[in-house]
Amino acid sequence: MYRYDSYDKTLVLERVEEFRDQVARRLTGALTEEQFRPLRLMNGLYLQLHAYMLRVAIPYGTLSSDQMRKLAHISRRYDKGYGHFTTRQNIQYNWPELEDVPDILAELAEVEMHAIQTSGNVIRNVTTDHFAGVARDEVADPRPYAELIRQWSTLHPEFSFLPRKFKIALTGAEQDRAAIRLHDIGLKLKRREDGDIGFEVIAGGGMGRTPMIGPVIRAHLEPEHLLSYLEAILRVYNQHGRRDNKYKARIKILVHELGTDEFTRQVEAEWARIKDGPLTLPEAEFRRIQAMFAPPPYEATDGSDSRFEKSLAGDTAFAAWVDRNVHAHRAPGHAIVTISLKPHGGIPGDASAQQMEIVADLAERFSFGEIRVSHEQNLILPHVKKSDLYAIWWSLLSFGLGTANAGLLTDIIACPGLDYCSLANARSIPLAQKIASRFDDGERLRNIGDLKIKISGCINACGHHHVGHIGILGVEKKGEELYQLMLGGSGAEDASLARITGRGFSEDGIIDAIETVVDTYLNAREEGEDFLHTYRRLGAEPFKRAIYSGETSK
Amino acid sequence: MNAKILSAHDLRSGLVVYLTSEGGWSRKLVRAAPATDERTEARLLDLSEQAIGGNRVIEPAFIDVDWRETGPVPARLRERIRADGVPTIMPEIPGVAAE
Ligand code: SF4
Repeated sequence: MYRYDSYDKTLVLERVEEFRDQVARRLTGALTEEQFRPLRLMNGLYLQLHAYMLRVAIPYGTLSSDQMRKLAHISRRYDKGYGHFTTRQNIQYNWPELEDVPDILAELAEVEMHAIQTSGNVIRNVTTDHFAGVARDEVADPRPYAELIRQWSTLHPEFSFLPRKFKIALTGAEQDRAAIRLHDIGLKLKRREDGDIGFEVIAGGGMGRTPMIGPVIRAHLEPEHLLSYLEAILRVYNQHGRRDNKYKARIKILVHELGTDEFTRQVEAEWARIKDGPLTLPEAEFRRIQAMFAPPPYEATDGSDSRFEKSLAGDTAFAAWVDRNVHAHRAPGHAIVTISLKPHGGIPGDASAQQMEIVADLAERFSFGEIRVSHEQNLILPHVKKSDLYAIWWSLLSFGLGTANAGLLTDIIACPGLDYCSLANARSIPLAQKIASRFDDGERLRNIGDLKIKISGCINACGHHHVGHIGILGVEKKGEELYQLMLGGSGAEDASLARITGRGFSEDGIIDAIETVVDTYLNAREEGEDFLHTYRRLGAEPFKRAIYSGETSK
Repeated sequence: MNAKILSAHDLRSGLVVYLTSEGGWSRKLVRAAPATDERTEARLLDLSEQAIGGNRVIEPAFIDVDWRETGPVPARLRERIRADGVPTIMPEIPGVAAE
């Protein structure tokens, strides 16, 4: 994992002390709220529906055991004993008091973490594939590049006041687990036919009010030019992005309005001016960073493991968990474990302090002290020996972390919604809970197979409803919650935007509608066909007919 | 009867508070002072300006309520959830429920 150098350390510590001073001045009244608000937002402190909320960055979703323990400690000491892992691989605390925030930030700095640029019109926390560095289908590890982007974008003076927020996602794998086509910039490491590795560059994707799948603006970018090319994109955006209208200020609108060709032309022209300048990656520095992401010293095995095979054969519950929550690893005899933060009846993405500590301990014992946060709001142990899986599973079960539902219908992404968020129109979490209780049957879930439900409590789409196989958007109608149903989205390599089925539903109505959609799929699917493919084969009609025909007015 | 009450957040804790008829701030919705005409609204706003000046609260805003025998009931679900002080899915969370 990356370790701070003295520059990183100084920068973060200075920022903590600066904020401590600002909070003190706010409390005495020397700073008004108008003056203070932008300062607190720069440090990740929002005011939400019930209280302040502190958003802490987890750079590219990678955490050490020590960092996870610190997150647990902070939740216990300064908050209400839990935290919420978000779709941006960050963590949010829902109840910090203003006076405590400088201390929280100082504690975070002790473990090389911070909340800088988790708000505001800046380049936000860079996200990656949560299986980065261990996935079998990976061409190269994107994390060293993600770290370079983090360094380049942190407090970048030219990009501190962008027209709107800006999100960059990377992957090095064929399967897109980072939703790169739905980000302001998406980067994919690919091997060309001649063997050279480079980035496919996507720009102008996004969700929110106007969802767009980003077009490829460059098929192959040599890695040493990554930062200059990003700088060129940001410059074009910074100059021409629509500052006149908040709703049109994201880069996707600019790319759309200019057209991909013209946007690309402008980027390339800007790039031609700065290419081969000071932003060209110095080989030695890159090697230094890359070395910090070198694979851990895996125990050499031939990949066979009789102990694991025996547990698998002897324990069907364990086998069901392995089937869903354990993924192929590039090192023989090893596996990637997905720890579900979606227990049926729980709150998607929430973890208690105790659960965080358990995960930290398990990572330390079994995963070289490393943890990942996925954008699907689960935690990952990336380097587990297969022979340890059975013991890990039992420990997870004991602490409510052993749900065998990764990628299944109840592995729901849900934004905080109207239970926490001041922008929300409707609640998301109770809906996720009700769906889970309606489908609370492992066999049924496994029979249904891969199905991603994503719920947002408003048009901002933090719950990624546009790319849910089944997406749900909460709206407010006459003071009540109403839910719109959307079908057929995907945030993966076959990205598509979900389409609305028709008029909305009450909370109970939408649960029934989902069940109808699932039943329609089960009746119509062909051998081995998952939900999304059945939907794509049949189109929306049979689903709409089933939902809206026998419907009593709800 | 339709009325307005003034809600804000406590500067230090960030928690939801309501302006009372004594000019104080309470976590309890039932203590909120109603305004049914513009003059009272202006008076409440004036009190809240003083509280902001006195550095107690932030982000004051009027909310619509239905004033019943038992007290105010906010018109919007959002405000009913805010008045509870806790997320609907965690009513037991300690130390923040408005009761
Ligand atoms: S989607 Fe809307 S309701 Fe949900 S967290 Fe984002 S802003 Fe809040």
